[in-house]
Amino acid sequence: MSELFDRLLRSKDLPTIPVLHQKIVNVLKKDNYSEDDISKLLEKDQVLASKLLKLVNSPFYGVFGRVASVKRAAMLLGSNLLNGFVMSATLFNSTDKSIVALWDHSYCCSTVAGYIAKKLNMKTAEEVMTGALIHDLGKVLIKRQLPEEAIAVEEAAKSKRITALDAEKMVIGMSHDEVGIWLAEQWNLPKIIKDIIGYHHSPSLCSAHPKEAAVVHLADIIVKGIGVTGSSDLYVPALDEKALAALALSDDDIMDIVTGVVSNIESDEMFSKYLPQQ
Amino acid sequence: MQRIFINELKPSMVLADAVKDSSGAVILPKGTTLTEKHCAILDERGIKKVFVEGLPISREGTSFEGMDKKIDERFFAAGNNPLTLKIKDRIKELLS
Repeated sequence: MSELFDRLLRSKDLPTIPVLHQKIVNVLKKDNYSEDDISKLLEKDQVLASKLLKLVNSPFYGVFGRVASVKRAAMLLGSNLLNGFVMSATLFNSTDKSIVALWDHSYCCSTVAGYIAKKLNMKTAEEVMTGALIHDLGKVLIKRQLPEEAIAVEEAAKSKRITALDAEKMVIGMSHDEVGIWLAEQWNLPKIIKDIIGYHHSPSLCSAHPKEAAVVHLADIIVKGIGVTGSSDLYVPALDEKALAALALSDDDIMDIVTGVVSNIESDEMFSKYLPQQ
Repeated sequence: MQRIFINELKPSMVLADAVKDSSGAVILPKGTTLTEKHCAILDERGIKKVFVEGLPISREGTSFEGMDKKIDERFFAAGNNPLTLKIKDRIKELLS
């Protein structure tokens, strides 16, 4: 097993941030960066720019009219979320089908988590969305570093009808939340983002940010339940009841959230394809 | 109760749930008996589907058939706590 950990966590093979993305992140670090600088950099990566436009035009944002300018999209997102967006674009920079599906799942989770956080009037809504964008960091690392074991995880989950989380523990001896928080540590991500990644399956165990982790946990369950599952991870994970209770949402509130999420997804050009079609 | 597409709506159908926009504001209340004008308003506001009374539309042979079973399978490993089951049932109502 230690040989597996070694291959998984060998830092010289870790994904690196492309130069352009690193430049964007550096500009965002400045307190008074100019929107023009950022949009010029973003426009150099057409894939990144078009993903950004799709994201802000999602009905979850409730922006009136269509956003067509990269600059306006960057302003609407804000620096924290833009940072997470660039990081996730790096992470999911792959043509591998299962990684593309995981990107859809992550984006959907982020918009849904933002929707819930805003309903709860959370001041950390932006961080919650950023954390949700990369909550499955560990899954990407497992797929990259241990491709054969990742297939074995998928097969075990399917044949035993268990969640990816349980299948990972069985096959690798470590699950994607643990792997993810480890990589987030190496990347020096802010504590709130690390906590969301590490506790999105067990928010009640998180001491510093249980609410933020619980929102992403709930978003993950709803999004998977609807069918935006992300690759072959077919099974909805178990709900952490204790963590949900801390959000002080009534069952009716949660049913309203599920309804709102489904109707937003129905009119979202990125995600509506996951729903049954007429 | 059935959730149907806007283009399947017919005047005289009755809304089984309020129709809300993405910010949660009510566009039409539960119990509204639809007219042509209502249907046009819903379409204009970008609403895709609404709950109506009864089961007016057959889903045989479409991708909706077997949706309940698919959703049951997705929730197979999620345990049986009451809130999880409620979420599952709500998703079934919304997607079937």
